[in-house]
Amino acid sequence: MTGLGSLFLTAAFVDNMPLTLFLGLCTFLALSKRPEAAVGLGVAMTGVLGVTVPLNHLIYQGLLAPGAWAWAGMPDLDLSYLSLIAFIGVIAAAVQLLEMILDRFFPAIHAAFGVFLPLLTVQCAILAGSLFMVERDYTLAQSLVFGLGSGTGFAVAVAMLAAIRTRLAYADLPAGLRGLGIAFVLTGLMSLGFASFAQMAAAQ
Amino acid sequence: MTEALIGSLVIVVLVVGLTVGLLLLRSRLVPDTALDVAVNDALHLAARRGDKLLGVLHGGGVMIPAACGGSGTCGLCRVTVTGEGAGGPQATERGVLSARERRDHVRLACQTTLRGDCAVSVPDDILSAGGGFTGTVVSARMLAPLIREIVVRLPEDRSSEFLAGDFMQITAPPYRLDFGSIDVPPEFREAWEISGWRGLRAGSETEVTRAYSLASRPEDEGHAVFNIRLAVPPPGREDEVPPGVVSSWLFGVAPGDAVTLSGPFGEFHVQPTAREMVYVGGGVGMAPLRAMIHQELGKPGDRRIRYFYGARSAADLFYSDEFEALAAAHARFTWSPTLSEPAPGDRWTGKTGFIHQTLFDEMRAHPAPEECEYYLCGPPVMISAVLSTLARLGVERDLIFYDDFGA
Repeated sequence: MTGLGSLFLTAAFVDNMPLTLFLGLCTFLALSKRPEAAVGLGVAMTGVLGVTVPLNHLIYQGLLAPGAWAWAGMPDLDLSYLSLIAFIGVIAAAVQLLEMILDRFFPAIHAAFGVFLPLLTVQCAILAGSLFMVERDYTLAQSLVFGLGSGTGFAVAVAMLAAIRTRLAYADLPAGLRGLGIAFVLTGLMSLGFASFAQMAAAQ
Repeated sequence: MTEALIGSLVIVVLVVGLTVGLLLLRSRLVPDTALDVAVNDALHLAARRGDKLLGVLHGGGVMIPAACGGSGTCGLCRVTVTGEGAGGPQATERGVLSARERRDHVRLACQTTLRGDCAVSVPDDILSAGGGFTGTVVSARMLAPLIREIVVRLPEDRSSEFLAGDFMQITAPPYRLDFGSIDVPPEFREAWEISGWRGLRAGSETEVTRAYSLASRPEDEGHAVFNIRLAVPPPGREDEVPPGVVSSWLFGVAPGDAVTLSGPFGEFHVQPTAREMVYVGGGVGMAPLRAMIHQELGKPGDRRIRYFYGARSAADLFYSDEFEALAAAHARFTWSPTLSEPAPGDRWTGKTGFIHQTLFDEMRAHPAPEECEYYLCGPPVMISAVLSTLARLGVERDLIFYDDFGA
């Protein structure tokens, strides 16, 4: 398998954002009640991560990284401490764009998101995508693949949880477990399942 | 120094660039277009994309009721909306609209954001009711420590005909009121002193509209009668919760004052059947039930009517003489007031306890409680207690009619 292909699978399954790293659980739990909203969230996450990670890569490498200003005669200039504010600005703009697109073309999904759409601005999984990109020193192509992979992993996980929760509408659960209670238990069980991907990666 | 300069420059250029990009995309994605809202195919209103339907309708003089002021909780601004422009129901509407209503394109106007042209249908009487009109207060008297009866003379050109159970909307202008200036009759003064309501203040900077049920009897022709309960803050929270805006204003009005009204509107009506009727009321839930009972007793026929009314103490029990006289005059009407906490000085010899318990005790002896129709109006806790009592009596929900905003 090529490097990029395996990076995609690693980002999607081994380092799954909600189930292995427990990032972005707020939206993961809140929008997994109905499959339509969950698929919408998955597509939105893939879109936002797929755009922001490579964009932030360009900004970081071109403007902020140590030595980025070497061409201007300032090889010692290190602006990497500005990366958080720059990344969040890019993410906010991407989410705003997403909101406009959904409002224009997919009003039903827009309505299903409610307050969780603007909250994607500070969603930890999305910021984590950009921070991991810096930490792991990805190239532009790797950043793109990593962003899309993480988003796909999030989409798969949230769609699975929504599918199970829909089935549970017919289950006779104890009163205290109904709603979020069982969703937490399910998340835990799915997380155990995803742990097996980590075993596969370790065995290679 | 250079570092600070370059760093600031980078962030400023980045943010400005993102903003310019978003503005460009916004102008392409969200066109600011004029929309057309057709009301009952008769009236066409102009709107802009992103406007709320309720505001467009009110701006166009279609005064659909909205007791909660557009927060999506009262469910009175139901309209049928067709066309692409309305989008799907919001999450806030799911709690209020039934699945059947959602399928029939019923929406809450206050929660509908316009995205394109659409057609709205509202009941014809709302369209003909036009905007608000002005009535004159002819009498105002306190019936209980927190309940005031206000009689408003309607303008000559307005018919005072209404279906019992209807409500009207009252609009309070901007005002300030010091509760110390409210004229409290001697018999209720003690209750006011003990509760410290004298020290409260109310006011509003803008016009505020609320719905009040009509308590008019057939003999009140040309007038609208309201029972207003002053919405005082819960004890101990006087500093955080302001008193009700419109109810406070109505406690300050005096005979001769002008009141802006619209309506009548309503969904809570007596069913045209021959079934026995059981009315259950509490507090100002009295108002629509009083109108219904008077209208029903005025009609020929022998529909049996029972009225269960719950109050706290004898001071809170009002119109009691009137209903005793009705019970004496009509063999088919019985009046069962129940006090939950009679005061020692009340010398109360009637039933005590909560109203749902009295209802249960009486209706258990009834040969077929599941064959009667039930009309409930009162505070939400009373409604839920009575609904579970009726479930114990085996009454199906389709024979229970209620109105619970008159808490």
